[in-house]
Amino acid sequence: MKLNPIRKDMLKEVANIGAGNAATSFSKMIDKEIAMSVPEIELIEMQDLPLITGDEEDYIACVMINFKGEIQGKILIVLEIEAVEKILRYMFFLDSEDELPSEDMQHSALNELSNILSGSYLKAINDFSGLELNQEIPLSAFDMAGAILSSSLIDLSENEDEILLLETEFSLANDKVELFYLFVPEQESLEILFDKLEGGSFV
Amino acid sequence: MSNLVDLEQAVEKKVVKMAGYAVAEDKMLLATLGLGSCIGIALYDRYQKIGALGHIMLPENPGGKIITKYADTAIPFLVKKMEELGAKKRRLTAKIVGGSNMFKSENGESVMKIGQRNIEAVKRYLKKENIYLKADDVGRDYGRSMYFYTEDGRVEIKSFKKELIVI
Repeated sequence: MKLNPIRKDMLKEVANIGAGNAATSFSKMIDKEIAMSVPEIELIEMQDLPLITGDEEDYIACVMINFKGEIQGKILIVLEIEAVEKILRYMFFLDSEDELPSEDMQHSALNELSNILSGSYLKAINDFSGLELNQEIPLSAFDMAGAILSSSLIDLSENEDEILLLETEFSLANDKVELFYLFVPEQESLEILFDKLEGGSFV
Repeated sequence: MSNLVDLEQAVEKKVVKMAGYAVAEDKMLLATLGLGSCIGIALYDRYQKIGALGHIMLPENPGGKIITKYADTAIPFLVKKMEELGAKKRRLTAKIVGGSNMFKSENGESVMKIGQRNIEAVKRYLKKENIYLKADDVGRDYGRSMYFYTEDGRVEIKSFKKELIVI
């Protein structure tokens, strides 16, 4: 697959609009200021996927949300475990010495946060492009990065050896808390997305 | 005692990426890190001490060019590579690791069945090649790293959820 610079810029704009809205929701949810990186559009080889956020054997948290509708794909939200703890403390109004909720509760809270982030992201894309998008229930895993990331996108790799990622990082500057947000459209959906954008008011 | 440890560390190591493979005829450590629903497969000829390690992602090849990504095309390919080094097919044994279900929904339901499908496919294609499956550590819901020593064919499995397993 090849992406020309115009289309790459379009995807960047899509990610920017989606992530901007997600950052606002994130900020409201934990009542903190959220910084957002310039989105990156990356076409990566499948075998490099386990390395996108660090080492294969890092212990991470990941929430996966499938989206369906006029275009299909997946959203992955990836955090280091320390970042999960900090965010949970804000969500539950806990001090650093307070005990964290049970692991089930942690999964549940992180799923809820991810639901809101991806909901805002997809809503912004919908407002901008008119594409009808629905998200499915979030699924989560806390474990080895390589194992989680490779498994998350494996069904997209049946016929493809490369994967297109729209990647944005959110951070809480003073806390060194980072959250990776990956929007992964299926390759067949890309043409539909481009048709819509090129035919619309975007260009 | 410290000699033993030094010898262990002196073994040359090769890391196999997703959809990749390695073959070795010397005393080597072949490793693949972070297996989720993928399968790590170690094939071994214990007389020649020749080993192969593959990292299989999916059951069947729909015509893709990376043949070591799929169980049906990877297994015969690994056998061929070992034979080129002097291994005998009838002596090969296999150990497989991985095929887990990493993601669960809130009601505990696992949605992606790819791990299970991978386990079944790898077992089926081993049988087709008449290769004896000597040991496995597969399924469940956690990630594994796999270390295969061609010196004696042992496989060590590390994870966050369990103590070291040796098969």
